[in-house]
Amino acid sequence: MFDPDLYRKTCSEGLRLSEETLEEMIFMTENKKRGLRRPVQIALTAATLAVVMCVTAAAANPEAVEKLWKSFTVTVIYQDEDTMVMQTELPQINVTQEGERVILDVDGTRTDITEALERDGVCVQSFETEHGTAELTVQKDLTWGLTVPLEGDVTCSYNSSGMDVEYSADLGDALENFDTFTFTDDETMKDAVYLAPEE
Amino acid sequence: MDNDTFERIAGACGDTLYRVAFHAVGNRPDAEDVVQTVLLRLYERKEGFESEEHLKHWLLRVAVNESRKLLRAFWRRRVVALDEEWDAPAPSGEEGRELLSAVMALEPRYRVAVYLYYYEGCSVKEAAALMGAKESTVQTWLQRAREKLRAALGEEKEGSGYVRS
Repeated sequence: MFDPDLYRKTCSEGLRLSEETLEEMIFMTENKKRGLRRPVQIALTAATLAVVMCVTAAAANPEAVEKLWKSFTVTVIYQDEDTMVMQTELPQINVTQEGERVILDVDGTRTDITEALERDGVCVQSFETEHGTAELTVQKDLTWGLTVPLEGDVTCSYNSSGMDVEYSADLGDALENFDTFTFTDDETMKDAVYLAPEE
Repeated sequence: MDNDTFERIAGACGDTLYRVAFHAVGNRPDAEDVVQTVLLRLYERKEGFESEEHLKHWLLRVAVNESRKLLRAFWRRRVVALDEEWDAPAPSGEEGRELLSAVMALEPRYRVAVYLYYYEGCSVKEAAALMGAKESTVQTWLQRAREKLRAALGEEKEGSGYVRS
């Protein structure tokens, strides 16, 4: 059974920073030696997503896209410590033939999937996301499809054709499940957040 | 913020930041990255805090937010085994290890909700504010987390369905 007391005891005793680590963090902070990873690519990816989602939404649900588009142009609240965000972000994926090898590139991380394709005829990879496990499937003809879990039970799928983003639920319903939705403002290239209207 | 104040807060709250970040991101290196970021935000903050509660709320909120940024920023292909990342051995023994493993097997948002509610003693309303979600949503997450934990830990009958609001 879930024992809250044991859980607290375990966390207290088992999840701690070592003194050395904390001292190093304090030293680095006070000297502003910030050794953090901040990929530049992320903003561009988000911008792409915003465009893709709008195009797709237009076909799926005009009302929803109006709501979404309005949020892009009017409801822009820049992200700061007071703005909690929930973002769906899709990776940039490329599958290419390089000589005898087939290379899968996910956001710049390259993996040789030649053997997997030859052995199984298909290569399936799973990725951890904030909302669960996403699954990428690459076929022998180098086409691929990705299914990403979103908020609630909604999933989002897109594939190598580049323009088809499909949702397991109507986009209008999907939007109902977002408390907030972040995107990158095309003009400023800053993160922005769409806040769902209060019920 | 002056160095003395910063060092006092960092010393007192470093573990708290690490725990919430660990629950959110699921592994030690990323959790330490989050803590480092939060500490930098704290150090650079010009405004003071009204109270210790205000400080704690701010730290937890920024930690949750920074964890979320990190989660969405990295399309991570590596699943880190809990055993590799934990401070070993787990002082609470096998039972504690099993329990925490079950919690860490939950989805990140469930883990954070469980942590804030059961460890930090936040109300549902407070946890919702920290996570940027509706109260009803957090209530649902907690309920689902409890169900999953019950199944994972082999609980035959849940002791209480009560979730304080």
